[in-house]
Amino acid sequence: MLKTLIKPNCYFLLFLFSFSLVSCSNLFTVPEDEALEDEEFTSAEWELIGRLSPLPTNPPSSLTNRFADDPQAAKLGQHFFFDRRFSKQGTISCATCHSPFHAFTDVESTSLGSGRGDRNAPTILNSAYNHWQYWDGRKDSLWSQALAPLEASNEHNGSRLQYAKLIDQYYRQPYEAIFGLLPNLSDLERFPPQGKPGSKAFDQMAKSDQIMITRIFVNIGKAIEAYERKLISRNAPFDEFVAGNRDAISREAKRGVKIFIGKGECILCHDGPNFNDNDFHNLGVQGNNPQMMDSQAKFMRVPQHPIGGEKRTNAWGRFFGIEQLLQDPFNNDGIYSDNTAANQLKFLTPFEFHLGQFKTPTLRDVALTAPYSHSGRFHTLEEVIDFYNRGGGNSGFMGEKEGTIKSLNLSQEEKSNLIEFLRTLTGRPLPDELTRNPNSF
Amino acid sequence: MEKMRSLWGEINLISSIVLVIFLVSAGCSEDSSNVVTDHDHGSHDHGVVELKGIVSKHTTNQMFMLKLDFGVKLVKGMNSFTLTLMNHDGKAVSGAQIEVIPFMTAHNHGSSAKPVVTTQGGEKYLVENVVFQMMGEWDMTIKVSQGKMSDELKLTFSIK
Repeated sequence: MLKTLIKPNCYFLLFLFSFSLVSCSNLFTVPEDEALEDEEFTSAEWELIGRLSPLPTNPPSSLTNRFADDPQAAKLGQHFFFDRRFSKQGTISCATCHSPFHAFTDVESTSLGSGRGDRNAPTILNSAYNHWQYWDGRKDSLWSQALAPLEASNEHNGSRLQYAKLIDQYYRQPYEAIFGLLPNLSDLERFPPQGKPGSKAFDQMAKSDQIMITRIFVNIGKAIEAYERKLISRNAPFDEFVAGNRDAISREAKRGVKIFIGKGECILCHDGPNFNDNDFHNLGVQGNNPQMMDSQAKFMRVPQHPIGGEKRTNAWGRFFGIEQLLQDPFNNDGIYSDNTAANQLKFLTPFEFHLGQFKTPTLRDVALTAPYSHSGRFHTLEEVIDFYNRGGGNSGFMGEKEGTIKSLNLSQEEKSNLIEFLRTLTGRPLPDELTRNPNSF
Repeated sequence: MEKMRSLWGEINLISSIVLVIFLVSAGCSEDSSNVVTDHDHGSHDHGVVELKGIVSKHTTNQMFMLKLDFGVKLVKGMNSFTLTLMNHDGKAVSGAQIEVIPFMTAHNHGSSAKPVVTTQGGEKYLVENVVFQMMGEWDMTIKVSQGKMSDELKLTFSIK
């Protein structure tokens, strides 16, 4: 009866009204009074949900590593990943801090290798979808990232000369099948047992021999990347839900989805099927012992910059990450890259707004990867959500906290629903053969 | 019948309230007269739209005319576009200083990168490294200066 009495001009006004409300709101704010497309979500909400799943079948091509999708290289890289001989004392492997038993991370706030690290070990799962590696983006490829811990004093603490000899002794045949002939490394005067840039043994070698050894070292990283590209978390209950199985996640999780794409504004940064924007943000997260990187900073030849005179610490985040990347001989524009044509770093310059920014992590398998944040300060998802709910941190960080971070006013029930949703992002387990040291080639 | 008349009165009252709210809330939306394409020639579109194709627009004080070619559309992530610069008489302006500043007013933050402007000869300029790191409503201020003249244009648009 009421419907027949409302004349068309009333409909028009109602249309204008709803339109004007939309124009006032943020793009992602879904009008609550919009008709549900199905029993649960509006068409606008489904549009946002559709951004989050499915994960593309293959990660983006790794243009700077021509072995990235070579199955033999992946197999060899898997051996390297689990082999503890790739460390000074023979006690540390990549899997020490990126354990398959903990979704390729560890349970430490900051990892313990040869020494205590200063940042939380992120998961390797789906890292092949990331443009940047490390919390501060100081690496622009997975192969280049894999090299740094091998020589870092608080991680594997080994050296490229040591690793070249390890390859020569234990991996010659599979290595040569992929990368070509190894040089003869038996002359101990020409090729000492240990040495990396900065050490007397390495620096006194002929330049051509330094490059030869470094190429072997680089190939270790390229093989490890080929393996890591297989470590993909997909087919989570949330993916099944988006694909059409509406019972794949609970009612509470569905409410959590609404918060994720609406009131919580989580999707602003955790956007796309890998739940990250491949970018960096300053949330005001307090760092851990920012002095720890001072020793490293001393050795950086920092370019002239308005704040170039100051000592870098790990709290500098993306700013320092850019500086390091631009000087890294293993960056995508360097001589060890298999494709420098893209000239990917030409616009990269550290600006003050990069201070204190850290990378948006993936949320896939997030329920398995505690502790959280670059400093590992949050031990549970509840702590993370509480942090966001109160509008981020207020002290103990560098730079300016981003305006996006503000109090959310989520109720206890809303926070629980959000966490229920995050738990639906745990993918199907990887095949067993990818999660252990392979016995043979 | 009496009941229906009363109901109709209520509906008219609701309509009036709705109209008032609309007029007030319309003020919330950005003045999208900033977003002008060659196809609407100054018509006012009161929604925040995506930027696509060729957009021609005077700077705030009418000192310069900018012709911007955004291609298919500006997207989330990395973008580049071309800019053709003329004075108010439509004459080519070369050698100008141009700065492009993306900003998300609702969140009070800028872009995660700094746009780079290079001259392409004459009145043509190339704007690269324009990054919109998240979806939502963005402003982009284009500051132009040449000699003693300086003016700017602010565009407001949505990134999806």
